[in-house]
Amino acid sequence: MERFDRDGADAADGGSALVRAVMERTAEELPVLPDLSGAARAEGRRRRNRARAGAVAGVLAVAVTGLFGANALAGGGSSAAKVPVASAPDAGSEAERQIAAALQRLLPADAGEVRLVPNEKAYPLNFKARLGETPFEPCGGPAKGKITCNEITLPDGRTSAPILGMPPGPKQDGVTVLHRFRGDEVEFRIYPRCRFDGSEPLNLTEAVCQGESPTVTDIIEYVGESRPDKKQ
Amino acid sequence: MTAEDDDDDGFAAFAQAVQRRLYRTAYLLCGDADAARDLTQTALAKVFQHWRRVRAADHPEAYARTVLTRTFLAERRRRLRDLLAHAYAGPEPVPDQADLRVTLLAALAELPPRARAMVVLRYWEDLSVERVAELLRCSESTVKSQCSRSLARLRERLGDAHVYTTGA
Repeated sequence: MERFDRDGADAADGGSALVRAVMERTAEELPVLPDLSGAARAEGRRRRNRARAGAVAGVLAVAVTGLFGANALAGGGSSAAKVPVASAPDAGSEAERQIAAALQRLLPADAGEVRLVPNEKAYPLNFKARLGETPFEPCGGPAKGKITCNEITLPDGRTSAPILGMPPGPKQDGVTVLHRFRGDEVEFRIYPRCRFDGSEPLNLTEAVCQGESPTVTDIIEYVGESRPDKKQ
Repeated sequence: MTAEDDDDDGFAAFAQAVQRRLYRTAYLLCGDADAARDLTQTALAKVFQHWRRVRAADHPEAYARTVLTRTFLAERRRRLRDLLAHAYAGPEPVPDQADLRVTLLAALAELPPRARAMVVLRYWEDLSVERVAELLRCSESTVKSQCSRSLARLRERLGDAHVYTTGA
């Protein structure tokens, strides 16, 4: 029989032994759990199906048509000039149009027109907010292809949020960075495909700096709060 | 047998092997058996959703634990339902042996969800400071300071309780 108390060995480690022991006892008293594998499989299949559907319906893809350089976002903040949104009347839901309008307000004026688009790859620079509930564990799963998962030390010494990146390759004309905010609620992507104007593609650090800029975090925050499927 | 059946079978064996452990961790996080069961099932469902990738990973159980913890935190953020913390607010009498379980859950519920997760991962799952920091996406110093503060609060709430366990 082993005893943990304030006067014993437990005192030496700040009480962790006592807490561990009580946790162990508490957990042991739980009733027997029925087999959850069947229910989990059924729920997992529903999630898979929703994710597949969400790949079309749950993603808000916004293309910025203007051509601006690597530093355009870095100090933009919310002081950018307000530019009317010119999205097509039937493009997206009302909430999506509102988000697009917010993006337009938040972006620097020279970022150009914000549009809801079905295929963001047709545009030089895109923001993509994934609105579904699909869980995504940036660094929790196995590596996929050439995609890397890293934290990057930014020029100001801060460490970036976990990001996924794929370095430029012969079949890719830019850097793809996945920026996460608030766990699994909102995904934010930047595709800085900067060869459109003859400039050099952004490197990974530059792209992450864009994703960490106050402008972008404002946008992510807004999208997270405003997303159409947000549960109240 | 189809590839999907094969996937399913592998998952069932995995789920049956890890669900008890996940459930216990979930219980310490949620403080409620029903909520813990729901959380465990949700975590397993998310694992199944990506099962082909997960089963190829080196540590599928660690992946499941990560999903469980992050799902717990996301739920707390999303729904702002930290009702247990309010339910247990207020000073508690020094517990006797029979009250220890309730006292621990009450003390855990008083911690912010993120601090609670740190304590459970550090002292129940016995993860290293480095691993907890990685899982919760924060610095190691944050984990150390939060765990130290939380541990002091838990120790205070547990008072002079003596716990007897079987051991070597």
